Amino acid sequence: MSKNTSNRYVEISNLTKAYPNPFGRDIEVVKDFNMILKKGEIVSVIGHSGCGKSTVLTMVAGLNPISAGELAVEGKQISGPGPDRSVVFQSPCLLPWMTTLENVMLGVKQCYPHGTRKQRRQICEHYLNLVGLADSMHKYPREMSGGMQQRVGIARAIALKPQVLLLDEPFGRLDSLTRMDLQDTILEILDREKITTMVITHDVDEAIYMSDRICMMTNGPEATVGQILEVPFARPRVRADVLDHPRYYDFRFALIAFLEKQEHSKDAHIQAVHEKLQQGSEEPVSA
Amino acid sequence: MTTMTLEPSTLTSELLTLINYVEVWTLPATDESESQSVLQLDHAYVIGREDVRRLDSTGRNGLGEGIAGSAWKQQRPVILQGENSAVLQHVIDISGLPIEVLLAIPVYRDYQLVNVVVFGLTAGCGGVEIWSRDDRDELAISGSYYEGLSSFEFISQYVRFPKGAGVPGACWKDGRPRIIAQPHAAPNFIRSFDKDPAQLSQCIGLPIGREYGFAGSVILLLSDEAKPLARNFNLWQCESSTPTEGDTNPAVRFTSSSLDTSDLGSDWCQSVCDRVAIDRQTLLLTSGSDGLPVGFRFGVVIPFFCNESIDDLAVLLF
Repeated sequence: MSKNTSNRYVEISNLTKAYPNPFGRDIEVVKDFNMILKKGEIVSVIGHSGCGKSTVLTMVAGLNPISAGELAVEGKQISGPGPDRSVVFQSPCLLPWMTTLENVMLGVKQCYPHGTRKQRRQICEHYLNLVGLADSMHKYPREMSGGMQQRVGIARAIALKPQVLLLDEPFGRLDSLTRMDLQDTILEILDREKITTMVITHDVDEAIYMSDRICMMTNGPEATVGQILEVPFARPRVRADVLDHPRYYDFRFALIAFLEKQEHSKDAHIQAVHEKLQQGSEEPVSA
Repeated sequence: MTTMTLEPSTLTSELLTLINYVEVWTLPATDESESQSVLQLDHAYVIGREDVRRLDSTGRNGLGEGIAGSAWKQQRPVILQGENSAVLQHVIDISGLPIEVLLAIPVYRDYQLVNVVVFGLTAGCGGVEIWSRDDRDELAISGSYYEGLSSFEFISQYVRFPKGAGVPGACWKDGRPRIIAQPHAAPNFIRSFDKDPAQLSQCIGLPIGREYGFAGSVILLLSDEAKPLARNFNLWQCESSTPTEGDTNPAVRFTSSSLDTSDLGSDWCQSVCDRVAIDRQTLLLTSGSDGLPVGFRFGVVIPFFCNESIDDLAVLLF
């Protein structure tokens, strides 16, 4: 793996996740996943349900041990979770007995142990303000909507000033209006903070709007990168301008056609992997 | 030099294949330094509908000169097109054909350049893509030519393939050429075609090595049934290890990796393999002295080496 450069900020090399199979060889749900993220880049990962998108993200987060391959952030190998990588999951998982401010403060205390109480509070207030919750700092989760709770989750992740932000379908449980609003909020923050970000999503429009690059994953088992699409729209992005771009639908078509092709070949792929496991072949199933 | 005998404008629809012009340049083995070597044009052929003509062209290209010298210098395939290209215009003049694009393919043996094969393509639905490694170790298009594939052309400039992904990434990973039939329906051809799908019938991926290591350049050739690249395009995969240079009895056997070769005759296939094993460079086959299967008038055999061993042969018959 190469030295730390902003062009190779996150290096994912031949990343593989295998689970034991009592009937034969281990089953590799993700195999030889390769991707490099530049500093400050936003990369979406799309693919069908169960293809291994979240498995990749949890491995990058250090929450899920890798079976093979290498993972590095700024040239340093990842061996477990750390404050350099923050995760926002689909469900914000706030502690119900704590207020908004206290939920965010929990991580900030760990990351800024030498800061004064006032400094830590200022950090929390700053990021809660960025996500539009300046007036809700003393509310409890039960007093807030799903969208507001997810905003707390985002503030909690970004307040740690991570080098890498990992978003695992962060808008999956939100209605479309709230989802768009939160997408814009996150993009504003990322444009300002320049945090390298990986977003897991099912939504092709979300992927195009938010990302600099879109990584399309093939079906599992042995899921891997099918292709990567560069999204050339300038930043900061305005939703209406992106949607009105004369080539927007070419990008959209490319993503949907990829997913459709994966869907059509799903059964054949599973059959091929099954036969390979029986034969003990090392050859990759998909090109 | 052969004079122009055919009227280009009347030929386009009559030509049977996309490839209608072939040059083979050779870098002579020499003790001199590379800068003193020159590529020599050994053969130039025009493949018309009715006949195959050998041109009397001679030429020498230094490093970086002409399309062959550019491929040598850049250590990767080169595409040349456009009205302002003097090299392309020269080929149009000497061939008498409406050549649209020239593609130069460097052939390496043990990481040393042996030949540069230059193909001239006439108009027809299809495309040529050169995928080269970028600073992220992904393959991106570094040169291309398309006809009748506008949306595919647009989106492809934004596509990247890591090692192992898609057809280019697969060629890069195992270093072997491959043929994908009916790519629009093939699961391993991942890019989408136009909204009104162009029914391309064949996709051929050719990995190109370079000096001192594999470059990760991959050529992708796309064509439709109405006008294929060649009348017969085969990839033969080496069945056993190739004998070393100087072996007087190179019992090399190849199996076709993608297409049925039964109509070519196994004896003929074996004789071609044996000749390449001895010559260890690109082989041209003409109907006069070389012997070709019935119905074919011309052939090009490009070897793909892994170090000194021949791994694969791309066999184009016209």
